[in-house]
Amino acid sequence: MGLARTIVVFALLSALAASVAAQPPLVLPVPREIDGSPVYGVLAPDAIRAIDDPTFLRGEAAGRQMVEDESVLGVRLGGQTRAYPLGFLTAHEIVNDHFGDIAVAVTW
Amino acid sequence: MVYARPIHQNRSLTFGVSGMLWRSSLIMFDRETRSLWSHITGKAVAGPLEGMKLRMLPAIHTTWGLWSSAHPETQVLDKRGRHAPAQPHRWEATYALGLVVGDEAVGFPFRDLERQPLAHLTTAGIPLLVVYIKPAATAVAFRREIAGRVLTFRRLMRDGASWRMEDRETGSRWNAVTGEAVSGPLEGAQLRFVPATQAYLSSWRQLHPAGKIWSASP
Repeated sequence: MGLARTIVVFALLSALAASVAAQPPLVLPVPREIDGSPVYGVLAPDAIRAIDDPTFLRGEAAGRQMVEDESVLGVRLGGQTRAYPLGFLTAHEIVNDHFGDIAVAVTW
Repeated sequence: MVYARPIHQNRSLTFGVSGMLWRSSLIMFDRETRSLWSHITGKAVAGPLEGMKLRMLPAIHTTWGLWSSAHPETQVLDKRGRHAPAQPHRWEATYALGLVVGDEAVGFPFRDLERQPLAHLTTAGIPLLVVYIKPAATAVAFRREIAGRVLTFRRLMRDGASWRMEDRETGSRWNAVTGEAVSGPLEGAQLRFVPATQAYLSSWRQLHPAGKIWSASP
């Protein structure tokens, strides 16, 4: 009885895990060429994961994270001023962000 | 490059990294329609939104030092311990600041800006100013016009942690990085930023074969 229950629970958990894992990996067809230039599919979509939930530091905490000659992309928009470290942008390529009501994509 | 994310069916598009390369640059995709977008031109090159163009917003490529001294109130993206080494800001003579104004493209080579760090040009009827801050290898583009009055600038110089310039027409003094008039008759006025891209001059030429290249006067 105990064993049967364990098996049922295990089976249910496995089914649940499978349904979560069954989120099919995103497939984007790679065009052969665009405007006469070839397109190369180098990595799977989302292999480099864009940032969709950026958070920010300011004041001393900002200073602690950064070094003086570090390369940044600086943006002023809708009354807000933000810097995006380029090393970080190089690793993630895209930050989906908002400046107030203005939705922006910061890319590198 | 900073782009406004367009609204599609009442939602702002969200961009991801497609893993594809085209003309040596990133292809992005949007999660809502799965259209493909060139990161470098901002154009949808395939998919349901093909032909659409993203609006580029002004951004400055500079050092943390120059940015945070011009904008002490700035926020900075939290790396949250994710692996991303600090990238030092590099200068290369082959860099240029590229602008697209109306239908016209114009490149400002860093090599020329080094010799003439206040570059004045009118293109597509828009009076432009490019300021070059040599120690931080930073070029910033402005529309040099306040309330319909075209201005010309001179005397770019360091002033403590910031950089100042002066306009000939009114003698007002300006913060050369933020474009704000800090004293004189125009105090409080703000020059408008012009979206610009830092690129290798050769890539910029390739992208805009019909574009102009500004050069320092001899």
